[in-house]
Amino acid sequence: MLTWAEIDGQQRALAVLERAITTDHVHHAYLFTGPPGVGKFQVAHAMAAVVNCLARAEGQFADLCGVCTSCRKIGNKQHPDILFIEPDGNIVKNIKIAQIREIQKSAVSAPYEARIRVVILNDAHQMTEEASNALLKTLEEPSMRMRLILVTDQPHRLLDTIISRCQAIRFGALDQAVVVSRLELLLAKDGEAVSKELVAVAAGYGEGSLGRSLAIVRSGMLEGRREFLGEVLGIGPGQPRALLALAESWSKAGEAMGERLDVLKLFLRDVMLFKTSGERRVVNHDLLELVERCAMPATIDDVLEMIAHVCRAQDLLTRNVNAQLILEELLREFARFNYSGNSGKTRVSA
Amino acid sequence: MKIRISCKALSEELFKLQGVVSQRSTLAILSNALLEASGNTLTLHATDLDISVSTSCACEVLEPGRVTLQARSLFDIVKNLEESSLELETEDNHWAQLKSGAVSCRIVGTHPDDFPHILDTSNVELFPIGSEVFLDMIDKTLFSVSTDDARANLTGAFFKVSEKRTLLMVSTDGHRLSKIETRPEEFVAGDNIPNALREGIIIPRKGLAEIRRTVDVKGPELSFGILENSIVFKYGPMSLSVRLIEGTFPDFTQVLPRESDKRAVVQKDLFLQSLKFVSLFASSKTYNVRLSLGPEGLQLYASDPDRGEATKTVPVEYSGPAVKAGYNFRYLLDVLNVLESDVVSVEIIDTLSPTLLRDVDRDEMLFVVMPMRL
Repeated sequence: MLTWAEIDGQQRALAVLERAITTDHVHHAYLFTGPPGVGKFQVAHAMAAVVNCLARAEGQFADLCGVCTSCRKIGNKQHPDILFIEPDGNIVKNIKIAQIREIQKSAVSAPYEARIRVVILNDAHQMTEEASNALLKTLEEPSMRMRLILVTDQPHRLLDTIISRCQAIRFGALDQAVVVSRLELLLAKDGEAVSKELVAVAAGYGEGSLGRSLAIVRSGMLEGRREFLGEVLGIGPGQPRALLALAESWSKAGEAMGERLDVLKLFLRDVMLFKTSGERRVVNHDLLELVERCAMPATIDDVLEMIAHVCRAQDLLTRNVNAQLILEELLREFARFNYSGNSGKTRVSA
Repeated sequence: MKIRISCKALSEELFKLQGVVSQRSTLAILSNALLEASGNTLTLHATDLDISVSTSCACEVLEPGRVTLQARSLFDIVKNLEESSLELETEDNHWAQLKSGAVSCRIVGTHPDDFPHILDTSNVELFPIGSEVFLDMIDKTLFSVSTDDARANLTGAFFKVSEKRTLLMVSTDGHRLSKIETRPEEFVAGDNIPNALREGIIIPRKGLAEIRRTVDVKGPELSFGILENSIVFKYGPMSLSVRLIEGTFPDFTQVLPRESDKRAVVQKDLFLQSLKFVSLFASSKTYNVRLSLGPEGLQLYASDPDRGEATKTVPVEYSGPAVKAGYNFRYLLDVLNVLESDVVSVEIIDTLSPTLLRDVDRDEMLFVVMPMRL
């Protein structure tokens, strides 16, 4: 669990909550929305601890002490009055009505030892319809010493009636600099050595989401990127064998297939940005020469068209179309793109 | 913490905790027991947040301290030891090392501070209550406690000390009601009865069941007291505190039917046996059995399109007009099963009014069953 002070880049949200605690007007239900991996759950967890911290005097805000029994238990998720509701299930993960009933059952009595019982529903949009409807009653008639925090990155999937019963707090995407510094901290804590350059690239890939950036570093996708882009951009027309072989090996990559398409998309975005505003906003900073070489002969329309092709491939993949066929098709487009505007040579020699 | 203790004593105490430790709670710590060694006693605590059990036994404390260990597995371990005594010592990571004869094992433990807050019951003012009488009160009311969580205030039995210093216990689920009012010899209370008890408290079903399970009539004296929002029972070295249900119990005096002259007296065993027989023909959806009182006796009737129909008439002492009403036979069986006397009285007022069942020898209790529409 992070302390209040350790949460970076969400000052606006924190200020609202701090004011609520100081004036003792903590709303009965909050809806934390914003992109994934920007600290919504961390804030909810810390908030539960701050509200119940034994070292804090009532009616004034103070960061959680982290050492009192309350903070310890909440940090370990072993506090009897802090309920964490997470999507559950083997195949389809969602929040079921039984889990909501659990909340309602505990809401009948006063908290066991906490000042305020806090219920945190993580990924609240994963509630089943019955669960959502059951929760309405709890939101409607909140008990005096209970607060709910709904955490979601897809608020549009919640019932309007739920949203209207909560105070919404928006969490924005994090600044690149915040993601980089946090990422370095987290990696150092786990003893993982990752070069500064890669961390910056991962932060760019995460688009302001610390969680996603971290996942990207962990997936090892960044390391294989250069080789992979080289392969794709090296394919020219008249090399059907190389094209088919690449499509085949790629289609067997499983999970990584989607990631690679993301890499391609972001690379094309970089190409486009490079063409219009130079290297300033390029994410793949370590691959700058590759971006430059690609950007030179292509027109913006060419690149846009390729992005559309990649998006289409991604879409088809989710619809269970044969992966190899999709990739062959996509690579054929790349072969044409690689060749266009160049007199008989591909942009990147394979 | 380091202790030396007899295996038998420890396993006996651990057994008492097993009723409240839960295996499937979302809160892992609740499957643990907290062991506290100080002076020359070992105190054990377990809780499921609604019911907390504390018990203690003598042991040789070599080094005082606290630790929480998995209650179920510790019980299994201690139960299976062959030697007569064991030594338990905690390590820095809150694991515990257990040695007994040739056995040596290490048991996973957690930090004692992670354990939920335990009520300090040492300063509670206690009132002795005869265990026989109190267990009887539980028997007579537990079956009609509601199991419907949507009406939380009915999921426990109402317990109250009346102005006449009698103990009153009532339970209802909306379809039936049981009431018993007793005056146990052991219960001598002055004017210092806590206000909560004068106004009445609601003891949850599970707490009553746990008392029923652990308290033995032949055992040590049972006493109780009120602490914060819990009722505390002391039974020998064991103390059991039950969190009370918040809310108000409905005013049941309104549903109690007034004394009527339509009182029929019937042999209990015969009634019970007949009811069981006729219920074979009762619908499996409604459980409906019709009772009719008349000059020819008490007629029981059940019918179901899938099974057929049956009647049985039992002789009764009855002088009132003919009346009939339909009931969920299981509610009637529940009442008859807890009555000890040979004869019971049945008072059917009319088809829709609450019906009264009583033990003719014991005026202090009564049972109300709501009829079903025929």
